[in-house]
Amino acid sequence: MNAVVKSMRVDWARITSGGWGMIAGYMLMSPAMMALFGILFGGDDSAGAIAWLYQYISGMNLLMFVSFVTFPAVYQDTGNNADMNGLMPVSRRNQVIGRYVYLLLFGIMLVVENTVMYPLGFAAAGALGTMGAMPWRTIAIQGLVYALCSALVLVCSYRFKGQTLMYVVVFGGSALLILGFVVTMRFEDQVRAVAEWLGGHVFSSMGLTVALGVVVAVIALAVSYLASVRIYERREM
Amino acid sequence: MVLDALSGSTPFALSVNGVSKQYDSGFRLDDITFDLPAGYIMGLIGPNGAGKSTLIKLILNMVRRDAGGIEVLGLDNIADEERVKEQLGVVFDSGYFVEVWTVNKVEQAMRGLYATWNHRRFEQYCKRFGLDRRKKVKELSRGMLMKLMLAVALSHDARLLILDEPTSGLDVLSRDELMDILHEYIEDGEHTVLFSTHITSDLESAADFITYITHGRLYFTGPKDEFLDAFRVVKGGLADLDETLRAKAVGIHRYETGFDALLRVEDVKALAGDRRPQLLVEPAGIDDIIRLTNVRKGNAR
Amino acid sequence: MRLIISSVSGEPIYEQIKTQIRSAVLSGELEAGEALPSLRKLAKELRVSVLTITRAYSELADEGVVRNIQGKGTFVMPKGNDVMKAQLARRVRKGLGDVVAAAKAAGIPPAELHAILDETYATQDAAGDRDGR
Repeated sequence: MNAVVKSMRVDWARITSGGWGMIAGYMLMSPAMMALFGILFGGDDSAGAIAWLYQYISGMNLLMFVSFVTFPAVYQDTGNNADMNGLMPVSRRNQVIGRYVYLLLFGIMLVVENTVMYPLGFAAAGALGTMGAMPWRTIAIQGLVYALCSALVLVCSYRFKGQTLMYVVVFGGSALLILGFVVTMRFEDQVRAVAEWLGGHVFSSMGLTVALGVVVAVIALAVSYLASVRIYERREM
Repeated sequence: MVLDALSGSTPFALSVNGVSKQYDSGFRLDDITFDLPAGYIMGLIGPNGAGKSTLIKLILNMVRRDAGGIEVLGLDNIADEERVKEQLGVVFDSGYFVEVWTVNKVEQAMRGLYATWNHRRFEQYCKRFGLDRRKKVKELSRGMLMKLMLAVALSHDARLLILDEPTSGLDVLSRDELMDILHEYIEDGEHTVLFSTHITSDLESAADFITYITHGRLYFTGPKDEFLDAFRVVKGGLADLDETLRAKAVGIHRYETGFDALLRVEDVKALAGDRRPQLLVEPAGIDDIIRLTNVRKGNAR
Repeated sequence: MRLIISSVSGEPIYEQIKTQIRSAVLSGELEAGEALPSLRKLAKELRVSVLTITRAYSELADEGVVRNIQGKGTFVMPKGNDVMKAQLARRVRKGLGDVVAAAKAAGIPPAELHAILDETYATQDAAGDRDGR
């Protein structure tokens, strides 16, 4: 049995501490909501409402999957479960790798769900014919945002414990948003200039845009992984 | 003579070699060295805060050592960490499971970790210990939680069992049951126990070896009988407590009507030469030794 | 064989085990060639350390009461073997040494001591006959 797989099995037990049903429920909540609203809105004129709703529900789904990434750490920090990491036959590096594999798996699930959800909403409304093009742009952006957020959250889960981790994620996240907002306001001209330049030179090319997104995601994940290993290997349990 | 049986062929289940660890708090575990031959029970003793748990965490590579080396079953505990831990069973003083897990869930989480997991054996231990598989970890008493950790350790056929204060807060029956299991466990000569405790009555008869740590330093390691044979407790009235005795004593406890002092056997023999039938000389128990090697300076004066 | 351990006698446990096994062998309760329980099994049963039993067995082997055969176990030796005889003779000498010292202290002359010895020997023989059958 591979050590990474072992560590993933323990993490799975942690993730499903509240029961399998709960996790399955969480994971299927967004598509279920999409279907439900589709049925409620039903009708040929529902296309606009469903497309609008999709933006929100897929965004909620994104947050849900980012939070899944912290589940092993959150449960491990209850009681003395962290001691288990010290006795399991898995090196610390392999334990970290296991969590990043989960991060990737959850990312894939998010993209799959967000992709399925859109036509699902229309189908439930009986308006598949009016669906039009798939919202690939939204799906791609949310995939990228997921990669960045989960990379940040996961490294934080190695740096901070339990309650502190929650505060860091909630307050740190809010602070980042506010900071971003303030910077955009303060340097409006510069930001617009950069955005325009990007719009003209990069985003105009589909291939270049996708490549840039992938590169950014990979760098974020790689930096996050290396930092996590470094933090965790130095930690004294 | 006893150790002849151990020399040569018997491999070490655990070998700690010059291990040191300095904490920022100022506590220091200093140059600890001892060997535990396979097939025996070693008691790791010392007062609270002596460094017993730190030593166990060093063996488990949960804290980083500053110096020295540790070999478990002939393997380096860091370089071969995964192979070492596959053969290691650990019982901590508090449970290491997620508290909302049921006993069933504990098995599900643990069986994935060990290729050698034996479902039937786990089942047998649950029955024997009266562990209800549907109960949650947080609903278990301290004794039950200890038994659950023990059941886990025994169900993947750990070769070395490390117990960190497993009996603190347990009643006599649970402690008795634990000692029975440990005797069974080492019966085949292949399995080994390192048992840290400050409740030394558990070890008085069962332990083959004693490693005694106090103030972060190794005070003694070796066969238990040698440990106990090395000391005597000398008791007498305060008038008997003269300079010679005070100088020879390892530790002295004085009270209103008398004193008891710990002396090395050779010093007792020397004393016996000159006098004093009124002194009471008794064999020392593990508790006596710990107590009297840790008396505060003010008391010993 | 009956083996009980007293925890208050003050006598070391290995010593208690030795004494009881030795007297079982001398009384014929354990016969020559009979196997003693394995070290580890006995340690488990009596709930004492393996080293304690190891010490008892190896000291009994030194006395010629039992013999350890590597990998097979520990077996009772025939009662009259040389090691055992020599060992027993040593114990007799030591006991007699104490007796003589006591006799000297009490001012008992050698002739009287001989008489006492003969008498005691005869009494114990009779007692042994009664107990034995």
